[in-house]
Amino acid sequence: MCRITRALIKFELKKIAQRRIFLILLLVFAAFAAYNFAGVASRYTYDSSLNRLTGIAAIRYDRDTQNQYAGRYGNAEAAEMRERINAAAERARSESSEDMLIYEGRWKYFLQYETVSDGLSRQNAIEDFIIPEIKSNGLINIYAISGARFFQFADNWKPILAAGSPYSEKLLAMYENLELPLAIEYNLGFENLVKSLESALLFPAAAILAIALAPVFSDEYGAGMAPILLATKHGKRRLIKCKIIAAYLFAIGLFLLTALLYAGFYLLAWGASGAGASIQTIETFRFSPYGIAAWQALLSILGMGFLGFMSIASVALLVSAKTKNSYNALIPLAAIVFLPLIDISRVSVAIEKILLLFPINAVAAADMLRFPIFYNIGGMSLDRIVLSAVVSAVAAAALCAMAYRAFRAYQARN
Amino acid sequence: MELSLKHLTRKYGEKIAVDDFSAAFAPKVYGLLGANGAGKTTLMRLICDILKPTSGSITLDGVGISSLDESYREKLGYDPQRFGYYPDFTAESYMAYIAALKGIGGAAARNEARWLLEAVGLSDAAKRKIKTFSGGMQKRLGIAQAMLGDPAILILDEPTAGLDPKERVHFRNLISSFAPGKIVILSTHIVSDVEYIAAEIMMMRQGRLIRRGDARTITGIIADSVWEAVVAPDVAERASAGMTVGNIRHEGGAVRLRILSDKKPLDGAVRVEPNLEDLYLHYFEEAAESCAE
Repeated sequence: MCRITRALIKFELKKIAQRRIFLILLLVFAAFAAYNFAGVASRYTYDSSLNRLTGIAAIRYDRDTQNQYAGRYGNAEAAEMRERINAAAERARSESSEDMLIYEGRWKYFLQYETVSDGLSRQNAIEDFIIPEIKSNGLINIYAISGARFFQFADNWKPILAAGSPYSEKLLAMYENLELPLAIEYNLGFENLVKSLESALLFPAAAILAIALAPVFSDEYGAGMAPILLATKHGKRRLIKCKIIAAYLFAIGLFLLTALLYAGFYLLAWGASGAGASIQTIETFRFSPYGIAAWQALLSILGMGFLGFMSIASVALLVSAKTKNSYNALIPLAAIVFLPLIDISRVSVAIEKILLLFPINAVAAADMLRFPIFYNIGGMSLDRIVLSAVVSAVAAAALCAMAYRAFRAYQARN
Repeated sequence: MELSLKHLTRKYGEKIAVDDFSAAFAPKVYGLLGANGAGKTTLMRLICDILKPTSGSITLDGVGISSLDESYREKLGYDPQRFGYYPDFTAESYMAYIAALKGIGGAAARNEARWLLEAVGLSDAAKRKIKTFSGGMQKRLGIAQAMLGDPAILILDEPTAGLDPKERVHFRNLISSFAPGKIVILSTHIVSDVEYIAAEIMMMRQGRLIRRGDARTITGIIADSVWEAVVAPDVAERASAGMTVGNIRHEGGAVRLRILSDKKPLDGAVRVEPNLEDLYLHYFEEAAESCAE
C-alpha cells in the first residue's frame, strides 16, 4: 500500500474517531460492558461445608465440582447417573431447612450434579419429547416454548409448522440425526458469553457502527468539503476507496474489540469449560437441531456477526453517500438497521422471513442456532444461516459499490 | 496549454445558469465579473468537473476533461465560494490532508504547506483548530489549499470576500507571483481586485459571456459615456433619481457625481476615462436594481 493511501486512510479514521458523538458512544459501550461484567462480582455459591464463596472463587468452585461428571452418557451410564442424581436430590430436599439458607441441602449434596442433571434432561427431551411431539403435533408447541425470536403465538406460522409439513419433516430428520449421547460439560461461562456477546453486538456496537459511519460521506456534503475533495487528483477514486477501507477497518476494529473484550472476559472468568459441550446442553440452545459443540456455535455467531457488521457498515456508507448531512442520514439508517429486529410474522411470514436476512439479524446470529428457518430458493431448501451469510456478503459488496458511485457522481449544485 | 469551453450550457430544471458559454483560456489571470446569479459559480464548478454540463464540452488541449480524469484534476486547484473545512482539524493537518489528496506526501507536503501557510499569513496559526479561525483566516486557508501542488489551473471563486484591504492587497500580490505560466480564473464582486491582477476580464450576465478583453479594451465600449460633474446637492438628488450615477462624493457644499450617459447629462459635466466599475455599472445596473428589489 503506498504512502498516500496510508495517509488518506489515517485521515479518514481520524475523522471518524474525532467526532464527539463517537466518544460519547464509546462511554455508553463501556458502561454496557461494565454492566454485563458486573454479574461476575455478584456471583456466589457455597461449598459442601456451607462456606460462602463469591466472584471468581464461586465460579471456579462450581465449574470444578460440576465438571467431575462431564462426559457423554449412554443409556446405561445415564440410568446409573440418574439414580445418583435422584438420591442426591432427595437428600438435598430432606436436609434443607425452612430458614434463610433454604438451599443448604442443594449446596451440600446436589450442586455437583447440576450440569450433568440438566444435560441428561435435555438429552432425554430430544428422544422423549421433541421427536414424538413433532411426529404428532408438528413444531407448533416447540416453537412456542423455544424462545426463538419469531413465532410468539403467531397463527401465521401454524400451517408451516404443522405435523407432516415439509418444514416439520426436515426438522424431524435433523433431530433424529443428532449425535447422541450429548457431550455434557459445565457451560455457564459459554452461555453467558453467547448471550452477552449477542446483546453487545446487537445494541451498543451496531449502534456505534451506524452512528460513527453515518457522516463518512454525508458530512463532506454538509461541511462543504465535497467540492474541494472531488476536484483533487485522488478525490474521485482513491479517496473514496480509502474512505470505504477506513469504514471497514473501523467496523472490523469495533467488532474485534467487542468480541475480544467479551470472549476475553468470560474466558478469564470461567475458563474454556463448556467449549466442547453439545449446544443442546446449553439452556439457550436446548431446542437446537444442529449437531455442533459450543465452540463451533461461538465461531458461527462470530462469523455471522462479522458479516452482519460488514453489511451494516455498507448500509451506513450508502445512506451516508445519499444524504446531505449526518443527521439526515441517521433516520433512514436507524430504520434500515434496527427495524428488522421487530417480529412482524403476525402480519406476514413472508416479509418476516425477508427481514430475518437483514444485516442486524445476521448480527443476532445466536437466534439462527436456536431454531432453523429454511428458504425455498429455486426448488432448493436453504438454511437461514447459509442464506444470511450469502446475503450479507453480497449486500456488503453491492452496497459498498453503490456508495462509491454515489459519492463519485456527486454534483455540486448548490 | 489551452482550456477550451464550447457551447457550455447548464440548466437547473427550467433555469439556465450557464447559457451557451464558449471561451478559450491560455495561461494568464482571468477575472470573471458578474452580478449575483450571473452563473460564475456554476461555470467554475463545470470547469472543476464537479458539475456536469447539460450540453457543451470542456477540453484541455483538445481532450475532454472527464476523460482526462485524474490527469486533469492533478493540474487543478480550486477554492470554492463556501470554504469547506473540518472544524477539529488544525490548519497544518488540513493542508496535509489536501496535499495527500493531491498526491503530495511526506516532507514535500510539509514543506509546501508550511510555505503556503506563511504566504497567506497563517504560519502562526498552523497548529490551531480551524474552528477557532475568523472568516478571513478561513478564506486565506482556502486559498492556500487551492495553491497546494502548484496547480497549472487555479480556480478561485470569490477569493477576496471577507478579506480586509490589507489582506486583499497581499492576496493580489500572491496571485501575481503565482500566475506566470498558469491559467488563473477568479470571480469576484470586487472590481478593483480584478482591475489590478487580471490580464483579461470576462463579464457574465444571465449565464452568458457578454464581453471579454483587457480592462482598457472592454471599457472602450463606454469610452464616450462616462462623465463627472460638480453640482449642488438638490441637483445631485434629482440626477441620482433619473440617471445612472456611480460615485457620489461630497466636496464642501457641492457634490461630485460620476454619471454614465450617452449624452452630456448636466451642464458643466466633463467626459472622463471609463474604468471597470463604470463598465460593471453599465452592464449590471438592472441586475443590481432587481437584487435590491
